[in-house]
Amino acid sequence: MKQQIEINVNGEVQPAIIEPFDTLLHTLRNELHLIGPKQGCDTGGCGCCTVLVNGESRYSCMTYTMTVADAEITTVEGLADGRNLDHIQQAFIDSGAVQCGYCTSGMILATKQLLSINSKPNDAEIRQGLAGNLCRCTGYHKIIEAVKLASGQTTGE
Amino acid sequence: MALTTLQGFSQPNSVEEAVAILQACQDSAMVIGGGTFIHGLVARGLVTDVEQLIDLSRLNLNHMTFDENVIRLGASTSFASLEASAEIQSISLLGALREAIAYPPRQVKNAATIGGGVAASCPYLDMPIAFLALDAMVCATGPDGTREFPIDELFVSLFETNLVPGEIITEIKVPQPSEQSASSFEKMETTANDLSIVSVGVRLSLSGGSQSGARIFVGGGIGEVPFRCCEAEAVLENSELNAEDIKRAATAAKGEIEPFSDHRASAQYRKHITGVLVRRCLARVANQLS
Repeated sequence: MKQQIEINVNGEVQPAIIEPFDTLLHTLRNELHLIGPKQGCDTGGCGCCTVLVNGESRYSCMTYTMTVADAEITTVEGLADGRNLDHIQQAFIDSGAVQCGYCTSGMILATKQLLSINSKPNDAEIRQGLAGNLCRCTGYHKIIEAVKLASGQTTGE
Repeated sequence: MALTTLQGFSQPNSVEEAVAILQACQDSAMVIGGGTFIHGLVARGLVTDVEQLIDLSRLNLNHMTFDENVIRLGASTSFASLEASAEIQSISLLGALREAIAYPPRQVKNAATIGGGVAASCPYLDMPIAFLALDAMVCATGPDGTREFPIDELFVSLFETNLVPGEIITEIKVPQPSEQSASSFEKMETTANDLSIVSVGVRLSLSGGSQSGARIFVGGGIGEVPFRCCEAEAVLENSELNAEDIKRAATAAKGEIEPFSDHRASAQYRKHITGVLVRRCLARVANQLS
């Protein structure tokens, strides 16, 4: 039974028509046309659907939209300020941490969560913090460099 | 795959309201805590007839209180909030809980709840093993009021608990023994995203240099419900927890479990790994208590 709800995504309250069984990933991509969150494994393992719910990283593929209808959702589209990229996005570019790009939005949001609780993570803490996000291209090395750059631990030189 | 049989979604604001809704819906309803487990079941076609989901996240059951004799944890407490708690991080008794919640990725820790982790009655999950090792008690509220029972009574069989229709778990209590106690958890998986091959939770208590009341539980591919290694526990009664006793207990544990073979591991391999994990967990706990 479809119903209309209002959902706060990237600072904007928007109407969406959803089924009770719709996942947040489905609502974001198919209702709100935000295609930053990707569908990968669809069972809460690969991380490319990662979004922030009230600032906490969540797998949107295993989150029912109804459970977060009153929360503030952030997708990768909500990070930049106009044409000015978020410093984590910029660090991923500067470090060459993107290859095919499918995991990137999830990696960036997982990094956002990691740095919100640990502003200077070491290598092991970065690996642990991004353990819920798979990348099949980079071998993770450049991604870890990007997190260190974003957290001001390297200068990228 | 979506749960297309679903017709409604309830978000009760009180335990009483949740119980009333659950009672009215009978078998067609399913309760979710953080919702991390149901999606995997739906994706595998294991949930096909649920018409109502009842989301317990608004019941405010996320309290943590630390009394001298008992630690009380609200059923909706997320793994992330346990991890962020200074008390949870510092109480030596709770090692098994700390080590169990360290496994999942952050995205799961933010959503998954301790109540959901035990209510699923799935021996592959980590919460049952950790709380069994800690002798936890379950508080449940239903149409006939509130009751409290040892957590081993909760697990009747795979996906089946002793909860009566309309009953929900509201709290998990961990008693703090008067003796010096510590616990540990470890598991083996094929990949970080897979279910455990085997998992092990242990707790030991020392009084006057001798151990009493050991708890050794094994989960994973070992049966419908977690397995208690009574023979291994008996080996450690009155033990001084030397390496020889720990080895004997680990050998007893792998001898008494009856695991099965599947695509993840053979029964023989599960027995071997159980012995290894029991030995490691016991050695870690013995080291903390020495």
